[in-house]
Amino acid sequence: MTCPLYNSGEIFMLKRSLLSFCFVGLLITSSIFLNSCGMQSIPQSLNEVDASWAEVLNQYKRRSDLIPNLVETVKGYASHEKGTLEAVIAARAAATQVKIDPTNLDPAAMKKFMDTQSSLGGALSRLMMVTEQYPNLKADQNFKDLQVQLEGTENRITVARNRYIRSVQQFNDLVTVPPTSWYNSLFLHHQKKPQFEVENYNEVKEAPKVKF
Amino acid sequence: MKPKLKFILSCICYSVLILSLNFSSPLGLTKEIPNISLPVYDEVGLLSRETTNELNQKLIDVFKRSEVQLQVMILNSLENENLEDYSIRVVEKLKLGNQKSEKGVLLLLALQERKIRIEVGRGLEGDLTDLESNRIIEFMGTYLRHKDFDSAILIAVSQILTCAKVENLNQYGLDNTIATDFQATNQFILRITIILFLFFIGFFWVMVFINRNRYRTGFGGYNSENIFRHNNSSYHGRSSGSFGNFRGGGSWGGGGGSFGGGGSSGSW
Repeated sequence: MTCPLYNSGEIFMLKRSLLSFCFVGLLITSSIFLNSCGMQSIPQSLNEVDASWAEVLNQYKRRSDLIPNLVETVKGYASHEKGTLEAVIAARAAATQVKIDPTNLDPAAMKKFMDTQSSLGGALSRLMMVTEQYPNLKADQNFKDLQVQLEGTENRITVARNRYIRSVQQFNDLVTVPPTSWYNSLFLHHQKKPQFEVENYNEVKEAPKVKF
Repeated sequence: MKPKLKFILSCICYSVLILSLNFSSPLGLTKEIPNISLPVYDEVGLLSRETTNELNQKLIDVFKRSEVQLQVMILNSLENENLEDYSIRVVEKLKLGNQKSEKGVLLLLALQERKIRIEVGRGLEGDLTDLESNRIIEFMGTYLRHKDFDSAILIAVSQILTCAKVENLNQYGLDNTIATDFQATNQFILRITIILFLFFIGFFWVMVFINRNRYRTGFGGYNSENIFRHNNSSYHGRSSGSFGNFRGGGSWGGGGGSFGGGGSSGSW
């Protein structure tokens, strides 16, 4: 039976506009859904983790680069302290040799890396304690400059590590908490990343802050 | 509304309120970061009003012209928090400097602990190095130990901006001649004081000489003024008058600059 209000042409137009309306609506809702599901946020978070880890490595390298100059300056005044100086040189060599691939951060490799860096930090703090007995060394301008630079570098290391921890936490949240975790388990299959573990963290943190 | 329904609704409201309070109350483990809208945040009132207004106006202008955003923050106490931890939290909240050039700097003083920190943004790390920051802090120490806070902050600001290669600093009166000007002003005041002292001595003897016949036990009239009165605001520099209370015109902070932990700490 024919519809009393509209003719067939108008019905066709109505159906068409309804269809296009539905199509547009579907596009909008699907794009919102896709954006919030992790399609963008998970890769972004992953990039952030890689970038912040690179920054951590960068700051450790900066500390490592300061050490030869420090050793030479101390040698000039405290050449008898061979044991302590050699410990620093050895620790630095060990730390430089441990290469860590930023894209392959498995817990074992990271632990090894952090252990070598902790030993280096420990050797450095022992060296700084030893230098207390040499007032001429402490008054040397070069030594004072190196101390300032070392403190600055240790602070940068701390900041970089905290940022890395936050980025890993954010990534792990995305990968484990719905709805982004659903997207991950369906399409991306990323594993949760190991959180930053530093044994004797308090010791390492205290390393540069030696009271003179 | 029915009384029963009203009762249920009010129960829900109260429980929501209590729950929200429980979850939103801070644990109090870290020191709160205050809301900051002007370049100079002085919660102790360490700086004189003229200096504060002068700096507010000039630092906002410097930011507009050169993208260098310097925040001066004077706290009463760190409340047991570590100086560097607090400093990095502040700059992460304030995001000093633009997202592009990242030229933010924080000059932080904690009065009770007598600690200073200069926190340098990524864009300035090449110019305002850790060594330079430390040098500035040592320089400030001299003035701070003499409790000349205005000069200490002004000199620190001028040296930070000079290191950051901000152009045309002399138009703000914030160029490097501040330190030498201060010494010159000091010497000038000293000379004037000596001259006045000699004058008073001479005057005293003249009066004694004139009145030697009428000299009695009392010598009323001459009150021993403290000529060497140290004027706390002796540094006038090139302050261009007072602006009343300076209210920030545009927005300050939240530019998006990031910090890498560079800079230096010290104490006085």
